[in-house]
Amino acid sequence: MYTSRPKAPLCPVTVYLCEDTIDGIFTAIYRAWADGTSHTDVRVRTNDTMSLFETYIFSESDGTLARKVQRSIIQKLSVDIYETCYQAMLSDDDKKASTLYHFLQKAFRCGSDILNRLNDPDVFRIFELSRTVGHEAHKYLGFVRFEERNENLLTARIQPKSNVLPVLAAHFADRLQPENWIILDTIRRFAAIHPAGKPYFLQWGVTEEMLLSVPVSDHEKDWEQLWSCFFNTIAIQERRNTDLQRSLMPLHYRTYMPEITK
Amino acid sequence: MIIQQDMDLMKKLTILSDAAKYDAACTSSGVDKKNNGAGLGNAKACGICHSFSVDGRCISLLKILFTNECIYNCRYCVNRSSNDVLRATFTPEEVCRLTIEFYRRNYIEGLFLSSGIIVSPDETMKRLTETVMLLRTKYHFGGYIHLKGIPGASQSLIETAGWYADRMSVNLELPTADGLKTLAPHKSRKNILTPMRQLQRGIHASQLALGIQEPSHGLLSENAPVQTGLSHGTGVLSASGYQPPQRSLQRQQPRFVPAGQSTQMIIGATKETDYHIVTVAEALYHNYDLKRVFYSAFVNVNHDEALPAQPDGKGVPLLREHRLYQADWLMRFYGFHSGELLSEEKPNFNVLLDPKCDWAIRHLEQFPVEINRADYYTLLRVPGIGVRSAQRIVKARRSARLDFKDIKKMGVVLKRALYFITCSGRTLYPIRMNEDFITNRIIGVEALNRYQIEHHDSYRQLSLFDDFHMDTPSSDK
Repeated sequence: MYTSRPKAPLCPVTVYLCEDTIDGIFTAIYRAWADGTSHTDVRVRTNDTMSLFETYIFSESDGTLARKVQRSIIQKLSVDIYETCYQAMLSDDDKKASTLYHFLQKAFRCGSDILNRLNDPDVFRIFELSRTVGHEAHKYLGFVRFEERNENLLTARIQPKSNVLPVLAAHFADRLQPENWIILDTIRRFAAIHPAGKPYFLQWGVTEEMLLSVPVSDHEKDWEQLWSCFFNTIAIQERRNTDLQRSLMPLHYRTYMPEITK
Repeated sequence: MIIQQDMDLMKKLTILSDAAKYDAACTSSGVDKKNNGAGLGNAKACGICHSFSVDGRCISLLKILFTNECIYNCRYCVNRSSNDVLRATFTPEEVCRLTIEFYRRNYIEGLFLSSGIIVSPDETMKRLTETVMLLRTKYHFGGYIHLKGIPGASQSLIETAGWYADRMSVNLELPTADGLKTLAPHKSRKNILTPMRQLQRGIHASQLALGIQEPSHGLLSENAPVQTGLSHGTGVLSASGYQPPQRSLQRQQPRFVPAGQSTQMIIGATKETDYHIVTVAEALYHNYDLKRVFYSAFVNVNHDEALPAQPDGKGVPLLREHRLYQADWLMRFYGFHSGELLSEEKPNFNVLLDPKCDWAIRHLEQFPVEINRADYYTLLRVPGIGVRSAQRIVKARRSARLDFKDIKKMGVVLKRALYFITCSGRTLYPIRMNEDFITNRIIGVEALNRYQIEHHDSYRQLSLFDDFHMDTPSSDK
């Protein structure tokens, strides 16, 4: 019933291009929806070649419009669906905005049961994107490593495939509540900044140099050594299995882990 | 016994983590706690792995012994009193500092504190309890703490410890009392089961008092209790009249061992069969409400001649351990009973087939099952269908008729499942419902040879046509 999507549109498609943020995507979805779902699509702006038979409109992010979309999803569908959509939009997939647009069209038609209908390709894709981001975020919850710098500042660097920082920030805001900490996504130059005991905020445009300009505290090396030493002695040599280690902790997570790199 | 004075922290950590590494449990799961508002830390029910050591095991907790100055002489243990190894003992302050500094840097999810028996069980338990109390009250640590219950320690000490730890475990060590008598002469089955029972009662009383209803043991039950919002109970939580400690800036009601208790057994040091081990585990889940039973493949660290020899570290029963964990999962999440998986006549697991496939092949009369109609518990019994994929199937088929390509996306492993299921009345390929045919297909021709050598009494001899695919497609019909 909801499985097919018009493959060849009868009229030229208007594509709403947006920036790669939740607000950006939601704003574009709002505008495209208002224009009419039959001949519109939503895409994150990339350097892709444009197509001859499509019209492109760049949609500026607008907080109020984005809030409206967010509110409708939560009120008319469910919080679960909103969280799934949000998590899916953190992915680095370049068709994610379009998938979400089509998913929401179906979702508003069939209601909050939509996430169970995994046999539908759009539903499955949103589910899959959200799951991939969720897995990566969950891995990073454990694999993030903080270094102590002067002035009691903890800093961590990550280079995730999807934009998992918002998920991590929420987790560490509760866990490391009495600490000053910064987690920096070195690829996206996106940082979560948490002053001790206060709410955290997300900041674009933070570079690695800015982070590393604060010198590391005196005893940091000792703690890293203690940890590396623990890491090495806890392994049972008779059970050595580096393939298993690599499948559970793939190499790209290890860049900033002191027990591996030092 | 070699005891060095003035050892630095690094040296102590090396000795005492090395001594703790054979403990299997490093899970940090089972409890959701928010930050207590005063210090570091929270806990996630799903558990978080922080690193993986070169043996591929998860490092989630700072797993250390408090001391390895042990007065016992268990034959399998590297810290037995007759061994000439370096000995060290932490101070409670050192353990706390390590935990806090590691935790701040997100190296760990919490502390796993075990210990050799220093002076006496009571003295050991006292020091362990002091350490966790210090960590919780002085450092306001809100992360996960897994604490060993020392067999033979007094009830009041274990009770106190239970209010500070998230999980406690008392090691069963060996599956039978006889094994324990020969290999660990200082330990007795009774001394191990007493604190286990005490913890079980404490957990139950605490849950009752707080109006928490959850399946007390780890096993799947077909009529799981419905969550109800009972009111909070009165303050008195235990028979001994011990009052739970007031945590500073407390937001949550304290709970006694909120993540439940676990235990572990050493596999392959004594002569027990798999059937024996699985029955013991099942009994523990039923009678002691354990959350987990861990199995630890025996490593002959002492080269003790009374124990199975492992020249060059070969012969550690890893596959056996793996099969036991698979069976453990089948009992906890899939509704299997030990008697279905193994029996007196067939006391050990099949080396080449996982226990679920093995069971299914022996019960072909129950297959194939129809994906679009079979109930949840029937789906769970199909090899290649797990808990999540079964749940997804049950939800998705309410709105559509599912086909093989749909269930594949939902996570069903078709290469195992296809022999046991139909979608809308059809199998994926023409399939003969025949033990040999399916076994052959699942484990492959190469492996089948080895398989049949081991199980020559349960399956017939090799056949050119069935086992080497020399049959024509028409013979399938």
